[in-house]
Amino acid sequence: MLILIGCVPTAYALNRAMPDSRVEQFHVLGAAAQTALQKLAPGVPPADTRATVTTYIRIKQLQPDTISAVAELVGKIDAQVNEYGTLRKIPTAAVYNVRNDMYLVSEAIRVMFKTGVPSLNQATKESLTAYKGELDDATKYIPLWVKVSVAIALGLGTMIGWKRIVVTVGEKIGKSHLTYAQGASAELVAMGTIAGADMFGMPVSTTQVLSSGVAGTMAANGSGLQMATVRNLLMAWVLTLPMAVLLSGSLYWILSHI
Amino acid sequence: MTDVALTVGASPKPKLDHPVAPTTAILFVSILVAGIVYAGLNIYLEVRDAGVITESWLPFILLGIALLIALGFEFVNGFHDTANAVATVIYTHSLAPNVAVLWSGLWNFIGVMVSSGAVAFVIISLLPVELILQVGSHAGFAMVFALLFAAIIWNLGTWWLGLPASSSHTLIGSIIGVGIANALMQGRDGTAGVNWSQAVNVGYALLLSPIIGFICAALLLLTLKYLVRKPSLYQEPKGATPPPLWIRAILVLTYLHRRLLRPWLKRWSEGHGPHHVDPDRLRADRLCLEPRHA
Repeated sequence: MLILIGCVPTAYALNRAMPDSRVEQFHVLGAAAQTALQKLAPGVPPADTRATVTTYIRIKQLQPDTISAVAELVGKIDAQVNEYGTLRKIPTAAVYNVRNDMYLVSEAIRVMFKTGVPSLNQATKESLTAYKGELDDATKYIPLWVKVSVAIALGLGTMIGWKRIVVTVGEKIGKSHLTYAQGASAELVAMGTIAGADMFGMPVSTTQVLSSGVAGTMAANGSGLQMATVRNLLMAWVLTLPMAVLLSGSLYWILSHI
Repeated sequence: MTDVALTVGASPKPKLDHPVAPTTAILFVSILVAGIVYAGLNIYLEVRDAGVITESWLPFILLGIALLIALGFEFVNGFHDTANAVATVIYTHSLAPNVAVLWSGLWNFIGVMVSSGAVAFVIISLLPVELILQVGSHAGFAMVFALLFAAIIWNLGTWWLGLPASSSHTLIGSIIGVGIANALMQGRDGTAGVNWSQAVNVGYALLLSPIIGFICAALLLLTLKYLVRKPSLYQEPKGATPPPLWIRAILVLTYLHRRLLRPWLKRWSEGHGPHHVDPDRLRADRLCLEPRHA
């Protein structure tokens, strides 16, 4: 999506499929949100509202002029959308800025909720949540064909290339062939862990649970482990994060200097 | 005696090297081509509809290449993802390799289709905000491609070595990498660009997952051994015989749970749209895409 928005903002920066009838609702909720924000922090908004809100999202610390800046942006968005009557008619030159303003306001509201600063009363919270929903519908959408393409790519990728890793899990972790009971134990533990992880928001990895589950059953069955594979596995898991950081960091540096 | 005769004739290793049938290959290629044509047509129509004035084809060729890279990222993710799901069902002869893999692909497809994409935007919100605001700029594209290439390189590399690595960790790492590089290039402290809660989460996962997996599976196997005293369960499969029905059911059901049920549960638990997802409770998976474990 970021690629599409970057390359053809006119077509993808805003959800052009949003019906015109929504504009009325958008306007009402926007006005309510703006009033609520202005009540929180009356005052003159800063000269560069966008920069103020961007910094706020980055460092997540409320400044005296943050809220008035957000309120000002809400007003700006509303004025733009009202002027053209619908998202579809916003001209190419303006569409990118409208999108960014919407994104900034939505993120600013998210950060406010998350940090709990400023403390908001129930009515304000509801008003901001409703408005944020409108903003997200306009900017955070995925066209059907993007979903279909991604689903095809993932589905097809799934069907090739699996052999290498399957052989590792099935043959190279333990010294003997995987037995029925071992397979079932490892799978059950993986499933239980996923369920637990979902419920408590624990950051476990299925890949790692399953592979180490197989290793665990091999040890319990007295089959013995192929230490070379186990070592490689652990190394790959430990290295994944730092290597990805290093790779993407240096790639970003290189690509920005081309 | 018959038992011995059987084991001599058949290896318990599953046959993984089936030659690809021509019809399968044709089907594969036609789905690929159909997908590309479908996407291209949609871009064309939507761009025309939006009234973009086009002077040359160059931007669209670049867009096409960019999209192919992004889809390539998904494609490579698929390699890791299935392996993880099908290894046990294949090696216990609960499902034939080609059946398991085909189903896995199908359910992955459906999984993406039913997901709302909310998680995708949560992932995006973890990126440096100033780069998100200027995705059309040089720096914006540098960010997108740095993320994609880094993840593709690491995923392909580990795949080549046959090591099942976590694509979520790869993606979180890539995001952190861009964050640090961006902060440093802006003259800020590099640590300011890091979402530390995400990094710590990965650290926990690294510590917890192998321990939980190893210990729980070992204990479960020992319990099973104690409760169900049936030696054939604890020896390698004889030939290609599938396991007893209940074991087979466990294996196929856990497999289906991962392939079929989870996407639906996930979608249901996502709540009512993007504004209810808390990025810090997220186990990020796909860049623009969808919620799932790998």
